[in-house]
Amino acid sequence: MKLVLYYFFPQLLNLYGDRGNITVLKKRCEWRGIDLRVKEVNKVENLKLSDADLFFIGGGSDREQTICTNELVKIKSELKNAIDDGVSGLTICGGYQFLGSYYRTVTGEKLKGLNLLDLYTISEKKRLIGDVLVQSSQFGEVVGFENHGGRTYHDYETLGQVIKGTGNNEKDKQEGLIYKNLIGTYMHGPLLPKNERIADFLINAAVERKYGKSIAPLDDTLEKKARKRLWESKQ
Amino acid sequence: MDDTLALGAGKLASRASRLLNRGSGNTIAGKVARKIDPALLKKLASQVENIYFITGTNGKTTTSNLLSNVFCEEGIGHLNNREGDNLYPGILSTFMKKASLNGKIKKKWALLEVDEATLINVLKEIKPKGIIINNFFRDQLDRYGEIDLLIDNLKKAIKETDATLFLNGDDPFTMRFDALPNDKVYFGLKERVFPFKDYKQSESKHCPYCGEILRYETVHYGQLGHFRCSCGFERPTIDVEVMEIKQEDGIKFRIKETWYMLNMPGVYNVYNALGAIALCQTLNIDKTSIQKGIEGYVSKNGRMQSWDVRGFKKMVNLVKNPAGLNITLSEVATSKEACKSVVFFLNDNELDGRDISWIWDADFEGLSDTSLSRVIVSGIRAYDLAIRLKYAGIDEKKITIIESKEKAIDHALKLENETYFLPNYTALAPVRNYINERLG
Repeated sequence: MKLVLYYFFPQLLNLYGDRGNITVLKKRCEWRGIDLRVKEVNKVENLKLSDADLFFIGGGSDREQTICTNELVKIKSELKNAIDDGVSGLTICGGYQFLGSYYRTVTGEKLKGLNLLDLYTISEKKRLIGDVLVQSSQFGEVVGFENHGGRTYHDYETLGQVIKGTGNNEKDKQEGLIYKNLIGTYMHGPLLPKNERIADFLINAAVERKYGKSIAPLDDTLEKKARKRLWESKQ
Repeated sequence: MDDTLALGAGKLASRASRLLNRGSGNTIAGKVARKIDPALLKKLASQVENIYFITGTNGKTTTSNLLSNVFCEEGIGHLNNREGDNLYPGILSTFMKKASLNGKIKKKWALLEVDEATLINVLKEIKPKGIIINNFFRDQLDRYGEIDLLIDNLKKAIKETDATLFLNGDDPFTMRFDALPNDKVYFGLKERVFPFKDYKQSESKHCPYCGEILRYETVHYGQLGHFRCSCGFERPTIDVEVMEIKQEDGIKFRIKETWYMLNMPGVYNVYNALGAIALCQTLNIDKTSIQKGIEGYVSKNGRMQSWDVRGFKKMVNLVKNPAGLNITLSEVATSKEACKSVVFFLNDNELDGRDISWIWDADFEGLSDTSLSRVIVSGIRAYDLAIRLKYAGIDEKKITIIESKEKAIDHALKLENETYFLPNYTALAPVRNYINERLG
């Protein structure tokens, strides 16, 4: 089996080791005999996403995020079609924020998002930094690290309830977003190494969509131990 | 009166800390004294005529120690924070140690390594004669946010001084300081002078002025090399340049017609020596003193420090960011020993940076090429290391998880092979101390 992942702007949007998520997806496919081909996208000119099974957008500084968003807006309809068609997506921090209508900076400037989803972000001076523990009905215990000034607001299904840390904003006690097979989140760590169930959700959705099959489980003893250890120690 | 109280209280706190085995006592002394007299650093430093700072992401302690060694050879008495206490309290404590109880310092020279962010504040109170800037690498992300912001703020602070800048001309980040009006001396390596390993996970190299991708005629490692941008930003003509490197018994390198010798592994240390040499040459220090100072330096501070145990080398080196880890692992790979093990220690205390995701930007994948018999992971975030290694392609059966640093060291010392102990920042002192204790 073969899958194709579009990795957008790997050089500009990798502020917190988030490329580790790609490493995890690649390996978890490899261990199942699935060939995951990662296509790094640095220019969107004439880009067609018709062969995309998964995509990833990471986070960068405000300046880099804006540069990338201005590029991505050129293939906005391709992205929208892909998401609505069930292509698996993982968007982290800035990647998540800019899916929405706007991002308001600390100085009040409104930066346009891709308007793919109904969400918006307001940035405040006090940054939200620290370990995050989330209780997810779909994924169980989810662990990560957040570092963002933006507070994001939306009404979609979330990754789960925040047990420790902040998450989307200081009111909701919820983290992230799930829409079809697209996940948006503030969680770094990176996210997937210790939350392999989310990685498998993305891979499985892609395999089902393309081949009508489900994926086999792997031995995740180590990941489970690591997550448990972190969950206990960071309470 | 304030001075005496501050100095006295600080010195007492320092003694207490050492007696209670809580550490070197350097930080607590500075913290206590500063609370009593916030102007103490300024008062003490203003008495020392010639102050030189060393800063940057990697190599500060090595450069600082090499410099200090040369000054000792030349017979110049000086202050130096040898142990690497490079935050404000540590800097203050260094001055306090050489001050009499009534606040008088006789030393005329100070060579101090200073943490990059701390330097911004220290420069408000001390105007140095010179600053050596080694390099900038992505380090503790959640401490400083982005490198750009750090560099901008540091530039603003340095602009208020007349310090001569000793800059690593091979580093585009460091070369951003070239825009300052201060006098500069550039150091670097000639092209293709050494076959550094090519890493898959490297920092993105964009021109800090126009944003275009930098072009490289040679890459040494990370973003260091012979870079150039179409907008005109490029590696300068180097004043102190290494023309040849020979890796024999130690590392020999040539600047103009003079050969120097480093008795520590890790060719990247040539950069650290260069910063020191550039300053010494500017001060017209005798060439022989420079050679002897560099050659005679043996690391005892956890930077490539080693012991021999039953014929096998045991080494400790600090790894706290991707660049440092990559280059250290390439040293592990070059060792000709048949059997090797590596012990990684990862903490996430405040000073380490609570965000440990940098390990995913480091090239652990290279480890699967080497003749590794065992990898032990330890420290607070040992499990994160284990997962990183699993995804780097290391056989899970070769990975041992021992969170307790002491138990991990005990386990490793029993192995009959060449062992590398690689702790990150807050794990370094306990690891080094325990190994010293066990090996005597």
